[in-house]
Amino acid sequence: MAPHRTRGFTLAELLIALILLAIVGDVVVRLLAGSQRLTRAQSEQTALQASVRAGALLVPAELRELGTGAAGADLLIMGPDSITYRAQRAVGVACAVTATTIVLRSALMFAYRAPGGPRDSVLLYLEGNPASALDDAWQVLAISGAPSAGSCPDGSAALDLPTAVPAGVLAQVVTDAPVRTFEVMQMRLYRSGGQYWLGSRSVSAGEATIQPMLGPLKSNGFQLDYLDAAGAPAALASDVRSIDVTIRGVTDAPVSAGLGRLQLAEDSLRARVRLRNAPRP
Amino acid sequence: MRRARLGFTVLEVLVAMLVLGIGIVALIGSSALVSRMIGQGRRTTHAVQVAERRLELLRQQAVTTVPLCAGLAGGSASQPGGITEQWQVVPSGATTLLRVVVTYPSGRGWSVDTLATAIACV
Repeated sequence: MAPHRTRGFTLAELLIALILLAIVGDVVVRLLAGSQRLTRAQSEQTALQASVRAGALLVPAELRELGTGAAGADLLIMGPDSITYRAQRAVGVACAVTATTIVLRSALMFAYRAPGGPRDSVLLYLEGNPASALDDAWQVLAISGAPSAGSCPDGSAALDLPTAVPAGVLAQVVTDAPVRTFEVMQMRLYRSGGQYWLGSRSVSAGEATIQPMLGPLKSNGFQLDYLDAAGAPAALASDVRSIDVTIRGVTDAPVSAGLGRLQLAEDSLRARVRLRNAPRP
Repeated sequence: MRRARLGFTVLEVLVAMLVLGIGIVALIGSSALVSRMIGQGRRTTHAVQVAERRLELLRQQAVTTVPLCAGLAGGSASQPGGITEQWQVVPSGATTLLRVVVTYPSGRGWSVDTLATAIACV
C-alpha cells in the first residue's frame, strides 16, 4: 500500500507546481520580451546614429568645393531645406583649347567619374590681366558629347572634351588653364510614405524624381543656414562663405523609451562647411 | 532509496535556478553594456562634430583677414550636452597648426578627444 501511494501526485501538489511554473514562466517570458525590445531599440538607435552621421559627412563633402561670388557662382538656389548647386565632378588642366575642343591633360585629371555631355558642363578659368585677381572668371561651357582619348601638344595622354568655345573666350585662355567640370544637382527634404527623407537629383541629367540619400528624418530634418564671412546670415549667394547643415533624424519605428513607453527616438548633428572656392579678401 | 530518486531535491532546484539566474543576469548585463556603448558612441560623435565645426570656423576666420591667419587666436567655449572645447593656434612658418580639444561626459567620468590640422596661410 505504501509504495503505491507515492506513484502519483496529489491534486494540491499538482496545483502548487503549476502555479510555480506559471510564475517562473511569466518572469522568464517578461525578461526575454524586455531583452528583445531592448535589442530592437539598440539596433534602431545604431541605424539612426549612422544615418545622421552619414548626413553630417555627405552633405558638407558635396558642398565643400562650391564657389560663390564673381569668380564662379556655384550656389544656384538657396532654400532653408533645399539647395541647387553646381556639384564639382572633375578638376583638371587644359593643355590646349581650340574652338571645338578642350584638351585635358590625363596626368593632372582628378575626377569623380568620367565627364561627359550633356550631363556635365565645363568651368574654364580665364585669367584676364595677370596682375589682378579681380577680373579672373570661370567661363561656363557646355560639353556637347562623350569625351575621347587625345594627346597634348607635348605628346602626353589627354582627354578631349567636345565643346564650342566662342572666339572672345578663346582669346583669353591661358596655357594650362584650370578646368572644373560640374553637373547641376538638387538636394532637398521631401516626404514619401508619411516620412521625411533627404534626397537628391541631377537637374542637368534631366532626372525628374528625387532619389533618397538618407532618412527617415524629422519634418525639419534638413536645415541649411547660409553664412557670410562674419558668420551672419547671408541673403545673397555671392556673400555666402560657409553653410551650416543640420540633420535631425528619427528612428524608423517607435522604440522602447523605458517604463513600457514606445516613441520615436531622435538624434541630430550640425556640421559646418566652409566653401573652399569662395573668394578670399 | 527508491523514493528519493523519483524527483528533485530542493537543493537541486535551487542550484538550477541559481545557474539560470546567473545566465539571465549575464544576458541583461551584456545588453546594458551595448546600450552604454551606443550612448558613448553618440556622445563621442557629438563632441567630434563640435570640434569639426570649430575647425571649419577657424578655417573661415583664417581667410577673412589680410594677411591670412592674422586674426586667429586660441580660446574655449561650452556647448550643449556638457561639451567644452578648447582650441589652440600655433603659427608654424607658412602654415598654422590648429588643435581642438573637446571634453565631454562619458559613462562614469569625462572623455577627452583631440582634433588637429594644419592650414595654409599664404
